[in-house]
Amino acid sequence: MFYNSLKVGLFLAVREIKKSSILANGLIIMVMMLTFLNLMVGRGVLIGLPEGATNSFKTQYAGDLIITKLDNRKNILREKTILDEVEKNQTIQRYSTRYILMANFNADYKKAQTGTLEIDQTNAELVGIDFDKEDEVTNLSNYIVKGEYFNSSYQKGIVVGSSILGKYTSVEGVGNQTLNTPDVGDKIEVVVNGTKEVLPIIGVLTTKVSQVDRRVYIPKKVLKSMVSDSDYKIGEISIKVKPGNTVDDLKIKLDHYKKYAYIRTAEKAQPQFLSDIKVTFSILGDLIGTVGIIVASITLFIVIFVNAITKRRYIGILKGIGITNLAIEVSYVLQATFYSLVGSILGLVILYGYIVPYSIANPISFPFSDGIISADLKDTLVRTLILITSAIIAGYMPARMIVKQNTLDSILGR
Amino acid sequence: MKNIIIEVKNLTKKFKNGDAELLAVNNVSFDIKKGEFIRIIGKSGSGKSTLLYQLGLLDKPTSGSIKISGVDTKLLNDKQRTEFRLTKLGYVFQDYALMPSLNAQENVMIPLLMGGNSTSFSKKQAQDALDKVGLKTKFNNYPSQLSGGEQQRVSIARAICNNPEIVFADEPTANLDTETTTLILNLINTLNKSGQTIVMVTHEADYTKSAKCVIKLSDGKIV
Repeated sequence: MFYNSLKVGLFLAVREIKKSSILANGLIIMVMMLTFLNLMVGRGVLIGLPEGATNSFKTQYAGDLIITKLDNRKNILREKTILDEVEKNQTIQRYSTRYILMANFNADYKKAQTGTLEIDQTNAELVGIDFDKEDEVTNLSNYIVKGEYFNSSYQKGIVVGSSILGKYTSVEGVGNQTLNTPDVGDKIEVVVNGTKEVLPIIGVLTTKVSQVDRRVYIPKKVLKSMVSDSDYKIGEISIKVKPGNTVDDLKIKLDHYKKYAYIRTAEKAQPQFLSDIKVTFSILGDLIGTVGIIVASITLFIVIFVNAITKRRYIGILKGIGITNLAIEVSYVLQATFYSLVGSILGLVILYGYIVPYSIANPISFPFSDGIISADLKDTLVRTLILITSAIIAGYMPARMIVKQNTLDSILGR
Repeated sequence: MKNIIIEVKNLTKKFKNGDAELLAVNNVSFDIKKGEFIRIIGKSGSGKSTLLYQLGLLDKPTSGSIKISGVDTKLLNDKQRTEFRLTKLGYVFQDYALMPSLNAQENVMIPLLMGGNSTSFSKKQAQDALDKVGLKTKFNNYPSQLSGGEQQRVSIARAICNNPEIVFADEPTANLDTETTTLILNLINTLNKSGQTIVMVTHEADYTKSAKCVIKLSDGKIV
């Protein structure tokens, strides 16, 4: 009888769906699709925001793995040994070394010499880079908002992060003193370890990573000419791993240098506030997702309930001629499954075929992140499964309620 | 007696209407033999449909007993009653009671599929049953594409397709014109002549003239 009930349930469900008007079917499927998108997109934006920040941190600054100096040190220890290993490692695609020194940048260097009180100056990290290698790892040239990036014929100058120049940032306060007057083409005095050099600003860059925007970049050859060998030391190495290799494997291989430097994946190296935001937004996203599932279940419950109520008499007749309660329940559950499945599949197509690619191509610009819609496939499939399960339960409950009613009352509409 | 297919003893059905109690069927007893064509007649509100619902296991009596094919139906639980209705009983409702989403053939197929028959066998049986009631050319028509008489014939085909022991018909001609009524009654008569036990409710005295067995009800009692 159980198998027969399933068979009859399927038979009834298929006919019911086929005989329903295209408009009615389309409407129910659209409700399911919108519910699916509501469930995925709302959460996706919340998760995507910190994920975008993490991505920015990774692509614009850290690479897949970043080696940085220990807190109590000026630079990475045993830099040559570490660099040799990095050079030899076959899983590394590209890397960039950064020579970091604190420097003073003085825009009023001429006035200062004549005794002006208010001096337009600030302190920031001066980062010596091999600009080609750096560009290969972090694509810095892509983030130039004015002027240009270094090239082989245009090296004697500096590229300044936008947080340092008052014309490009509104964020000024304790710890973020800006240079108010200079712009691209202007010269400023760079003072590092007592050495002074007047250099032109050749470009200004803006990224979503505050560390990058608070730095001044200089070709390492120029920096080397300004400081002594003992000061010319590597402060950071950003590494990109070859496709097909995992950053965790690389980290394991380099971990024996952890006495000499911090060796961290981009995820681990990102500022604590980003991790905190990610956790908070994830909780909010789950909360919204749960509300979405409840709303979806209630929507489907109402749709199936109205459907079942209007067919209460026919349910009574089916029971009257000997069709089991199970067969009738299966019929409604299968209808609910069909609508939720088709709605979810359409939702998946729209999500991955349009919304996600669109959000990647046109990210929502937030101060610390290019917000994308996060839609991890595994996570999406789990949520789709939860949605369909909820739909099945929401479809079963009203059918059960109607089927449980007295057969004769249903037939006579009492 | 070997031939008795329905045995009714002291059957009573009461309905509550607020504080008042309505006695729809009042302590009736009778037997129906296999192959009989029983007409239950009476005026509106005499309790004839209520009696049919009790006999057809669509409702439970307040007291008394109904034995069908020797089975005391009081002892059956809901699941067993459903299975009993499927395998032993057939129904023809006043307003045809066809599923609008199924065509004529599919309407007849449902009880066959529920009985565990294969789809192809059910289809063949349904077509045979429809053929028997003169609807050979209307297998694929939906109820909305059939006249009242045709819908009632589909309903009869659905009732007989499982070869039930008894067919219950609740005023099957109430919504039909005279010509179609004659057609349907002839069809039911033909079924009975082939050995099918039929219990039919009707309030139209004219059609009971030929009846061999009539149960006349008045205020829930056999008169």
